[in-house]
Amino acid sequence: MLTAMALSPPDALHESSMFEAEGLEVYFPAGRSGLFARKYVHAVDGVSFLIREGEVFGLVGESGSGKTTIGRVLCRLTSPTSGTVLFEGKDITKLRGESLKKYRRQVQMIFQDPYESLNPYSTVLDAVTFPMRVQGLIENRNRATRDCEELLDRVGLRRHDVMNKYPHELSGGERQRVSIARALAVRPRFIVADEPVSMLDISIQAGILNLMMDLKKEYGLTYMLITHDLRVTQYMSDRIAVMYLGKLVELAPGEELMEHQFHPYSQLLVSSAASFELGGERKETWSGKGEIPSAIDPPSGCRFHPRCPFRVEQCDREEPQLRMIRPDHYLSCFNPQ
Amino acid sequence: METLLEVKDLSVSYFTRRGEIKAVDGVSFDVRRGEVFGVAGESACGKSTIAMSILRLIRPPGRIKDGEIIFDGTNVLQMSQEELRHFRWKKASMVFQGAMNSLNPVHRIGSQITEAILIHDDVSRREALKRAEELLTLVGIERSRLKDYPHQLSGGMRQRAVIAMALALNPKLLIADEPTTALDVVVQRQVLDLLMDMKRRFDLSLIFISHDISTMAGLSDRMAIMYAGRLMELADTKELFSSPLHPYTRGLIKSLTGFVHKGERLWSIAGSPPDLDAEIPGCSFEPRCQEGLDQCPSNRPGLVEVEPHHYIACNKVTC
Amino acid sequence: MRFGKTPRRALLRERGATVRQDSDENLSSVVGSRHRWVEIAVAVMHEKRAVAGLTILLAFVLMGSFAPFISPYDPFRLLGKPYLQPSSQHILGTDSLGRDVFSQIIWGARVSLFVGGVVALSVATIGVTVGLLSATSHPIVDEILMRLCDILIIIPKLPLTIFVAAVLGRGIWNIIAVLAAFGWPQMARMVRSEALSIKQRPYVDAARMSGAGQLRITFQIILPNLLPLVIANAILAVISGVISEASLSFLGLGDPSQMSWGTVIYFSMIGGAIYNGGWAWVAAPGFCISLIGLGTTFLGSTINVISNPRLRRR
Repeated sequence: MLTAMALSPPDALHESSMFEAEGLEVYFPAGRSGLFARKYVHAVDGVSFLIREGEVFGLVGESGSGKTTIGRVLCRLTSPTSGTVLFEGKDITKLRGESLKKYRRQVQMIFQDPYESLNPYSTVLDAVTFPMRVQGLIENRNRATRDCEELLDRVGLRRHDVMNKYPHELSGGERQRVSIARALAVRPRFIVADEPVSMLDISIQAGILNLMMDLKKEYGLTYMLITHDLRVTQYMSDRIAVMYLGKLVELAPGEELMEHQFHPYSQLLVSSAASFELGGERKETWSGKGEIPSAIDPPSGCRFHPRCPFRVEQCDREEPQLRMIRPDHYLSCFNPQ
Repeated sequence: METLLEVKDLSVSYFTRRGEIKAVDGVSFDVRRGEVFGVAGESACGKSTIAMSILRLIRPPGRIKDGEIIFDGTNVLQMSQEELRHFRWKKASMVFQGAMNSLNPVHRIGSQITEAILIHDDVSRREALKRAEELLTLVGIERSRLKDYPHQLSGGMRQRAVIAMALALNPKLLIADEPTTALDVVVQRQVLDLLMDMKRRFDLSLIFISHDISTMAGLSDRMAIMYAGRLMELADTKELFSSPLHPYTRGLIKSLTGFVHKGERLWSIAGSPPDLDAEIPGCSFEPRCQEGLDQCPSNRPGLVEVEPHHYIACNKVTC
Repeated sequence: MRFGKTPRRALLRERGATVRQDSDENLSSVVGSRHRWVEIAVAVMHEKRAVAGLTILLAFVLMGSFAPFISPYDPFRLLGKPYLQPSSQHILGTDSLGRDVFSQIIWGARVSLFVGGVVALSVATIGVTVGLLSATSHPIVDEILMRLCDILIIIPKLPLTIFVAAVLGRGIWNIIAVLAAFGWPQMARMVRSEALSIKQRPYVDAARMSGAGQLRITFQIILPNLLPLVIANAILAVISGVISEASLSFLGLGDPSQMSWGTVIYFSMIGGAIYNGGWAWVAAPGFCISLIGLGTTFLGSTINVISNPRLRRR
């Protein structure tokens, strides 16, 4: 298994890598087969990567790829079964108590469902100031209200009475903006955005994406953008990592990946999305057949081999490893295209 | 090209405690044989209501207030119950929004399709079963899956099963309401390919409804843009994207990520859709329109053909 | 109750918020913003059934509260001839000992509702505590508590109550204690399952992301979200308590010094009311209990349905 260190190009500055994930494995128990043998969902199965400060790291994949789980591991909402995640050199999977609480000031999350990510019994003011209260950042009520007002203004919710509203009185786009304001309340350095716009109408998505880019510049944020929508990730990400069934199959700078994908699955993803555009040339010569197999009993060897039209002898016996094929471009495949 | 469906001045409202909500307000369009007709718009703009109206599925507190829906020469809104029975599912059918999650969980897929056939057609159970098998194979589900329950199938497969159900009696018109929302991108592609395949095979007309204008663009021959219950623009898809005339359409297109380069700002339309229970004497888009004229708040623009087959409802363009 | 397919704003309007179009970026301003509990209450009050239920309950509560003032006679006092038919003197007639039945019903409301109310309150308190504990503690604690619930549910209550009555005597508080002791497992189970479901929601994750500890999350976030369900079920527990008390009294395990509706039924059975023309004596308490049942069901089930996530959606 390649270490995270070896993954980075020789001239990369380790000092600028914010996160280093190494051999991450997250297995969830899933009943038993027979009386004793336990079954597991292999949500994340040996993933390593680096995230650099100031970048937008796009993590794409379909359901069951493990992308959301990785986001949750970085946020310490889920514990990995094994592996390490270093945040500026410290292993966050081992944090407890006070140090964990401090970590929570640095890393925040924006959730997918604008309707379920706000407590129905909290006003907007309560929701946004809650993290501030928990972290002890509030001196007095007035100050908190003013801070909240500023934050809401910054995310595009400008009216005075928004603060006293309850989530059910806001639209989807507004609620998502409140979530963003809440995430910013503790001035984090890193935000995991888990499908931030996929439950919003296309016409509302633009506003949220613009906002996220503006805030990134203004607050000097680093993002992990988790999405299944390639159009969104292509627009926003500096680097894109493609995941399939718990494995990282390709990782490359955004533009490079959208131009040409080496991994057959990446090709399938990109071509599926590209053909949505008007008159989009469907570059792919094959269309995806079959469905994503179960993560409890994943295929042997390369996870994608049952669906891959380019598979070779090795593919069902051995698991390919992530190797660097070009500067900053990594691939895990025996028969790249 | 022959016209299969003509919708004339359709108005559908929901009558609630607080008043009349005009979900669809004077909408007219037609769908030709063998074409893919896209209806695009934000949530609650009335597109699903139109679909339900075509099959006369509007229930109280909703009511079709006005208008005509002429399918193959007959006004659907005046059909008797018996005529409706021959119309629904046999001439026109629908894949509802979220249908894949509305399959009956305690019945097997095969029997659900068989039942659908038996309800609308007078064939023997054996024939219906045979047809169900054929349909499932057609949509790419193995025969062996006939005996599975919905929860044993993936989302994509369930959606395909639902499409098979809709096509069970060889309708001439298929309405698909948000058929790919909530599906993974690769599966979305598969379902869309399937829809196009079915259209070709059965020589269908397809009405495709979605908020995702870019997905539709690849499929539709013509597109209608709806806003707040009213039709804003209607044109051939290529024409609509190459020269959108309505400010709303232009705004929508500019907000699509696929059309913008990385680093550029996406255009986002400020504001939100109006309440549908208020009287809107003028153009419903006016409060959010950057190019409004003086008359826009008071003068509701009618749908005008400004170029061959390019219709628009906009004061600026038509005055 | 009809939840037709009305657009979000229509639903908002229905629930009393006035929605105004704003030209500011992405904003609709709502005049008179309301706490979710108020929203729920308003929505509930719009349902005729709930209003009817509430009226019934209030009527009986008032009746019981003001019993000393509105009861024409002392329910225990022997006033005259037994088995008198309803008249202007005795609205529901007299019982086998010549006591006024109407007064018994009025005072009965006091006792029965008191028992029902206290039992419901106890069941809610214990049930919420145990349920929350189960849902938020170590799996082993959860397992132990749930098995305890199972045991309590399985134990046949009647024989046990007879046993308790035999050992401790037949006081009203003993009855309340027994009913509460057997009533809480159901509530605990329901609270636990709802709490577990709430724990999965993103806003709880968001609270964890803020650094909130388990205690804060449990009390500031999970509990408020549970309350409508708990309240609805507590209301339903009232009728359960009333009927249980009536059943116990009917079997002779009640407190004879307190005139509850169950006691009235008991005496009517012992006194052979049916054979002696005392139909009002038999019918009245049962009718009152049924009305309470109707009232609590109307109110409780309405609150349940309305506070459901179904309505939280756009």
